This record gives sequence, C-alpha cells and structure tokens, in this order.
Amino acid sequence: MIDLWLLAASLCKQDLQERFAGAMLGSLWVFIWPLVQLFIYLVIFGKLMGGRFGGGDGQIYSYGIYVASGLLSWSCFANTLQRAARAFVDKRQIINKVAVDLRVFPLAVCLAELLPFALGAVLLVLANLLSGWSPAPALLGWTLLALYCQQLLAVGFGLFLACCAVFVRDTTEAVAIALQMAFWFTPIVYLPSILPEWAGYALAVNPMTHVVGIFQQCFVFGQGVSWASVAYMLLTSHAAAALGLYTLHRLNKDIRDVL
Amino acid sequence: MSSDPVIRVEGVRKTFKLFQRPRDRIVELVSRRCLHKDFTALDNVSFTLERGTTMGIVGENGSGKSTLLKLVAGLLLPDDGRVDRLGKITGLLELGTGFNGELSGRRNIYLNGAYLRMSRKQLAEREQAIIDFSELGDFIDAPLKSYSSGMTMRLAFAIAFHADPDCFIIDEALSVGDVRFQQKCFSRLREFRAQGGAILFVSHDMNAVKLLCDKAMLLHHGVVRHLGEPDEAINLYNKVMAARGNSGDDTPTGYGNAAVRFTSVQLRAPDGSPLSVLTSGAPADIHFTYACREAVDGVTFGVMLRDRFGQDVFGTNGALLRTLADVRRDGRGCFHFPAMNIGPGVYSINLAAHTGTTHLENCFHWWDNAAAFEVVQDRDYFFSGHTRLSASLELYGAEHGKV
Repeated sequence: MIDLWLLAASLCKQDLQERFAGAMLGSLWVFIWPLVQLFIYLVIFGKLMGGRFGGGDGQIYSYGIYVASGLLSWSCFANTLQRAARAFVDKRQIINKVAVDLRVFPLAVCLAELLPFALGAVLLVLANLLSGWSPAPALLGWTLLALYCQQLLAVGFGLFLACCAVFVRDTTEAVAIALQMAFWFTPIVYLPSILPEWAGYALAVNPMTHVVGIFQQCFVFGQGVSWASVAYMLLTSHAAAALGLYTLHRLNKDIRDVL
Repeated sequence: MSSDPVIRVEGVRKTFKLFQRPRDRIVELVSRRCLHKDFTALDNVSFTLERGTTMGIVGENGSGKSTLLKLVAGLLLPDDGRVDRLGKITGLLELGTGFNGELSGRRNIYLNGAYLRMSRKQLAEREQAIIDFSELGDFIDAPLKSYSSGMTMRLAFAIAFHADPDCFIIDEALSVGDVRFQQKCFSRLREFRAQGGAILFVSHDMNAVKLLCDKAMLLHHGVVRHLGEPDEAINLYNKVMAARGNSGDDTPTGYGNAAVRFTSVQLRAPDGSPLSVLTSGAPADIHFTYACREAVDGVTFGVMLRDRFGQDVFGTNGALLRTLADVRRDGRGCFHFPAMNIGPGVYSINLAAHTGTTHLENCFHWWDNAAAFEVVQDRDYFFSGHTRLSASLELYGAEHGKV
C-alpha cells in the first residue's frame, strides 16, 4: 500500500516534468493556466456581468469569484476524470512491460491535478483578500472535505471508465462529451435559483453540485454548509470509489490480456 | 546456495478468451452469453529456477514462451496454479520503459529506474556507474531524442544491469548494439550469474541456449515436453520442428518449367532421424524427393547452402559430382555430407534441378529457402568464423604444455 502511494507520487512528478519538458517556460505553465483563467473570470465576467448578480452587494468581483470558485473545483474534477479514464490505454506500453498495480495510474493523475488546483486556490484566496473577503474563512476546512470527495469521485469513476476504455475505445470520447454536458448540469456559471423547480431537483442528483456548492459557500456566500449536502457528497464519492475498485478487481486479468 | 529458488511456478494454466470484436467482452459480461473461444496458451507448467542457474526456454513460435515470461514477470495473471517470485525480477523486456525523448539521458535514468523499482537513493549512488557503463559521456545531458537508437539501447541496458535484481528475464533482447557492447553485456551477465544471480532466457538461438544454459525447457503447444539437460531439449526441439516440416502445409515454390519438380526436402542424421539443429562438424544428409512430369535425360540436381545474410556458403551439383540422372518417373535422392564443417549459425538449403552445369541454361525447378537448419558450437572444438578448419598450435622456444 505504501509502495502504491510512493510509485504514484513518483509517476505524478514525472507526469508534471514530462508534460512541460522541452517547453521554454517549463513548469511556469502550471502557474500561467490558473492565472489566465482567474483573470478571465474575475475581471471579464466580474466586470461585465457583476451588476446582474444578486447577493454580492454591489461588489464588482462577486460574480467573478462565484464563477472562479466553482470552476476551480470543476476543472480539477473534470481533468482528473478525463485523464484517469484514459490512463490504462495511454500507459499500455508500460503496463505491457512492467508489473505494476493498475490503481497507480489513476492515482498519479489525481495527485498531478492537485498541483494546478492548489495554485488556483492560493490565487483565489489572494483575490478574495484583495477584495476584502467578507465570507467565511472558517469554512475553509469544509472545502478540504469537498476536495477529498471531489477527487475520490473523479478517481473512482475514472477507474471504472478506464477499465471500460480498455475494451470499448469510444469511452474516452464519450467521457469528454458527457463532461461538457455535466458542466452545464452543475451550477458554476449560473445560480441554481434562476432555474425552474424541476431542474433544481435534477441538479441535486449531481454530486458535483454539492461539492461546488461548498466552495461557493466558502468563498462567496458564507452561509454555512448543509448536512444533507455533505452526506450525499460523501456517499456518492465512496460509492464511485467502490465501483471503480470492484470493476478493476473483476477485470484485472482481462485488462492485462487485452492490452 | 543452488537449492535456493528465485522463481517457483506450479501447475500454471493460462487461457485467453478470443473475441471477434473487443466490445463482445462487455456484451458477454452483461448478457452472460458465451461469445468467446478459449485458447489455452499454457497448461500445467511447473518449474523452479534456483539462484546461480540459467534456464533456457525453447519452442517454436506460438508455443507459449512469451506468455510464460509475462506470467513470471507478473504482467499477466494465471488462471490456475501459482507463480511465486521470491526475489526481485527484472526483465530485459522492460528496457527503456518510461523513457521520454524530451528529457536528458540523466533524467531518463530516474524515469526508467522508478519502473525498475529502484529508489532515488540507489539511483543517485549508481548514476555514475550507469553513465560509465553506457559509454555516453557528455551526451548524458543531451535530450534523449538526439540519441541514436544504439545509444538509447546502451543507456537502457546500463540501467537494467544496475537495477540489482535476483533474476533477469531475457527475451531475445541481447541482439542490439554493436558487437563489442553485446560482449560487454554478456560478460556482465556471466558475472551476474557467478555472483548467484538467476537468468531466465528465451531464444531461438540454439547456440546460445547450449552455451549459456544449465537447464532448458521445451514448450510445445503450451505443454512442457522436456525439462532438464539443454542438449536433450535441443534434440527434442529438432524432432518437433522436423515433424512440423513434414506436415506438408507449405508446398515448394520457386521458378522453372517444372518438367522435374522437387516435392520435399529434409536434413537428416546418418541414422535417418530428422535434424534441424546439428553440431558443427557432425555428419548430415540432405534428402529430397522430386516429381517427374516429362521424361528428361541428363538432369543435374544441385544444392546450395546459404547463411542468414543470403551469402553462398557451399554449393555443389550432380554435374560437379559426376552423377547425372535420366529422369523417367518420380524419385528421390540424397546429398551426403560426412562432416558439416561450417561455423555456428542459421543456414538455408536451396535446391535446383536443371541440365548442364548451372541452372542458368535449362532450369526445371529452382527452390529457394527449401529448408533451414542451425549449426551450433561443438563443445569439444571451439572456433570462431564460418569455416571449421582443423588447426593445431605448436610453439618453439617457449615453455608450454597441454591444458
């Protein structure tokens, strides 16, 4: 078990190194992405649409921060899920040559995606402080739990999809489209209150609604966290992890045969 | 020390499910209908590999050798039976796993090393030794993509050799790099074995099996046909290959007007048993049969032995041997070689039937690559090169004695 984490950590480090190897700015790109995103959402969205955003009490950055906090969580989730789903197919050369625990690949993806997340989170907190952060710093602890559930959900479901992708290559394409749709099924760029009632129920089924909700509570609203939300988030993310592990357990031998 | 096993394989069976389409696998899982055909790659295979020993695995293509190696390496999981790995096993199949062309050779040592389960500390200690062994010098800090394929392989070997395993798995991998580096690898392997390392070795090169292995396993259609003396395994391999040659699934091809056509060819020992591997200097006969479509007088039957590069090694024919045939009906013949005085290697047998002294004038049938055989070193008379000449050494004015 310790071996698993150690190898995942070293794979994660390699992944980050390899992704930017040969690039002039190297690992600086890890910083540039969240910066640009934050700029877009804080300044452009915040300035352009800030006025129509209720509850922000006229702060021009409110809407921007609302979007940025949701997006911080979502982009980490979506990238992890998407890359985890491709993990076995992408690493087939390695799986064919070295005896490794297959769980290590989605795990490494998860760790690697946490770095841009952490940078984004620091930037978001800084932006918040600059705009005179009124919401609840006390809620920061809850965001850690949300982050745990978010990544468990991504890795668990990603593991399940990675197993499927070995047999049905279309899976990875389908995941990209499904994520695109799920993005709009999660209240990130809009407020859930603008939706009709039935759509609200549909949103509540989506575990990411609850995860994103906690981030938004922490950074924007500061009203506290609903226990039902937390329970649902914990339940679904652990179910996803169980699904992924069970699928891998059942298909481990076949996956190795096929790859 | 030698009874200390590194690998213990007991009653291993491996079956692959063959599906027509990949997605049938999922359909089968869901619907529980049987959509696959079973293919048994290995059945009831057992062996133990002790420290300090080298075991060879021989067998024709598709006999399950690679599957067995993958099971031993842990890349595949057996359906039945067990594989115990009692030490660290490094496959030379894992050469260069995780190499990234954009990064320097030095960084790639760490990338590849992680997959060979070397800790950062070990890698840091051995970094210099690896660079020295690979002979890359200052190139080590250049990006890997600028390396030639030989340089890349040298680096990969250097890392593998410094991974400090208890057992190496070698799958025909040693035929890379220049001859000098190959020899360096071989001597490193010998050193490794002398220090108690075990080697599992798969090869079609009977010469290497005979020279390197303490014991050998012959696999045939996934079943162990022999486990023990390498010589015995090679003899049995001969029989298996010869039996396959006789099955007649490949009909003679070539060119000519087919008035007289070869129908079969076989290399045999003087006692008539078929051969596909023989020891340098041993006697052998090339038997052939032919079919007659038109009656022809003065037919010359010819044979040419070629090495693996297609170069003529030896050729003769009926005209040169003053034995011409007046062919009236189907028949057979045999070229006798009292001593195959050629060096180790793979040779092809090429046959010709024509009139005159060469096949250029009136060719009935020229049969390229009619059969192949392998010559291995004679343990009692080592030499290098293509030709087995008799030689002795006499020294004048120096002390000498028989070794």
